Amino acid sequence: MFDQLILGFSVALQPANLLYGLIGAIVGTAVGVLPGLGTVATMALLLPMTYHVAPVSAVIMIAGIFYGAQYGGSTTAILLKVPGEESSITTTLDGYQLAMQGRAGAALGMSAIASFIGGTLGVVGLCFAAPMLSEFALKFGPPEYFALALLGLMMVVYLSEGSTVKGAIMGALGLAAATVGLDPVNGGERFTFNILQLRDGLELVPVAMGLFGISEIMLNLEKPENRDVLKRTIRNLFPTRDDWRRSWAPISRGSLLGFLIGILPGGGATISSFIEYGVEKRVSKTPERFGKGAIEGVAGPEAANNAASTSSFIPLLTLGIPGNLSTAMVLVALMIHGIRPGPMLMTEHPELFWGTVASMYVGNVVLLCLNLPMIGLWVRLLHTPYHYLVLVIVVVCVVGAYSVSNSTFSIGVMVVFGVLGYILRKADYPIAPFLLAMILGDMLESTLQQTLVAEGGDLRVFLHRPIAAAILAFGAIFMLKPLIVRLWFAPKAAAQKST
Amino acid sequence: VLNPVRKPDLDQVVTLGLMIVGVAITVGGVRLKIGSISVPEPGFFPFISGAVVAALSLCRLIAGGMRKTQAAEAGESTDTSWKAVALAAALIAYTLILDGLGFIIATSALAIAVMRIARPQSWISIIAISVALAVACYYLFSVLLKVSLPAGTYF
Repeated sequence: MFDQLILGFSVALQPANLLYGLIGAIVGTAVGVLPGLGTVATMALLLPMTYHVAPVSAVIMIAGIFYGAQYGGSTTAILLKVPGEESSITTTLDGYQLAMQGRAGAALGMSAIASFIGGTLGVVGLCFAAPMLSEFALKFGPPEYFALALLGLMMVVYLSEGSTVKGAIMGALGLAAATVGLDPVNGGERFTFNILQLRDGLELVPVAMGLFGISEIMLNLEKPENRDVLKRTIRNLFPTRDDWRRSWAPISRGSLLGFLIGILPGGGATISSFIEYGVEKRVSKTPERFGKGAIEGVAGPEAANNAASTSSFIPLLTLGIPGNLSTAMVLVALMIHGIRPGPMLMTEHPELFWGTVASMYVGNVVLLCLNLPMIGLWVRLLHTPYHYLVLVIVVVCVVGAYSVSNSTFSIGVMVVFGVLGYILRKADYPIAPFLLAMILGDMLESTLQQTLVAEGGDLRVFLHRPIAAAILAFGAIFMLKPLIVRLWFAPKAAAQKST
Repeated sequence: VLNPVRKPDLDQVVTLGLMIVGVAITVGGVRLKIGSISVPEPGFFPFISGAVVAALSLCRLIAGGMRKTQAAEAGESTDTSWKAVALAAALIAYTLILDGLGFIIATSALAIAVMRIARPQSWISIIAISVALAVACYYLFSVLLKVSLPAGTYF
């Protein structure tokens, strides 16, 4: 493994790849800091820029955006009480309180250092876990892959904001959208309406840009533009000895917990940070300090969300199944270059696999170096008026969409999905399940067809194969949990109350 | 502006729209031929997906009709701002004029529209910034990144 890791470093440290990683990390941090454009939209936006570069450079850059955004998101969480990314929501609780007490520097420093430790430990774990999972995954057939992809989709539906039924509707709609284009089995056209450009299917990049970029701008334009930036100067970025004493255990726990949660389908940075915050509050001898400026309330969740971001690459790189939308965009980057990750990725494209892993180590060092000395710059970036940001985002969106296929049709697709995304989000329909379903649609359809044809239509195959059965049972329990609680526990509680 | 009465309306209208789309996909699946469970045809997967969309939307419509009052408590505004509509209109217009007028003119026009929509300022600064951005983007993407942007068919 060490030979392969050395190979990975030799790839990641090539000047061109270093540059792409640096661009990704800087853009990711800026996106995390700035409001108005999420990580997924930025990843979609920059995908066209990676068409002409080697696959490994493309993945290194896209991955850089992903974990850069985790770092940047915490800056606004601490200084503004506005989480730049969902995964930094927990950081607002104690980080902002610390900033109000004049300890913004310590909170920012601890957040960057905890993120660095969490991310690095996540990478170490990835090095050991990925080869094992890859080997195990060689035993998987179409039923297992179908079950895994379905589980990934179910978890995103379950964890999406608002109603699970709405999430399921969006997931099913995304699966239908994935069937647009030529049928992979007999080559017949499906839902193309005689439009030539639709024969290759709906392009994922303009769809993602529309759903996450344009619709976000439309929603933001409706809100008043007011952001109060902390005006105080930030000093003493290095945490005190007492901060360290309080934080080393939360950082260790957060890294381990985040790593484990990140591997699970649907698991990722956001959930891991919430769970870790809860854990820290529970194990603390002084839980009353939480929410009032406890440094461990910043350290634990920040370590957890970065470890989870890293470990969520494991199912993607070894099974080819993204557990969340951000890793799904990395999958799109690979698919653009004709690479479908899976258990063979490590042997067929070792430079890509280990190059990406090594770039994460490098990326974490770059981000630590970038964030601590450049915090002043990021704070200044926060003063950028939103109307200028909108302008730049819109122009970059149209150029990005155009460059997907060098045609205005892609811009049209982006605009249509932008408007659809805006309407759906206004009606509280989550859009993440739609896009993930569109990405996983091909895999779900082909593995289902292969299974049905091989087994003569006998669906019991999903019960007879233990791995597939266990995966589906796990998903079913989650999806049916609200119903089980309502039917089983609620009447009991009501009966107890009445007695 | 809070408008509690319109919240369930928008939800219901969108759900109804999704149900119609679901039915259309299901019918499309039937037309493509569903086949059987042992020999699925091209329409099999769209049929299932469309049926799930239609069935779940119908369930929501029925359930939503029964507890209309509960949904009314939601706090976010559902008023569509003219800004969002104007941005969508500007982008649609952009897709229609881009090939004809070319990247620089069309993008300058789009940028002017976006700046007016986002925050009204003096026309001189809007036009100057918009044209500068369009020209800079053209050179960045077309010359440096080799993206072939349309030069315009009218010229």
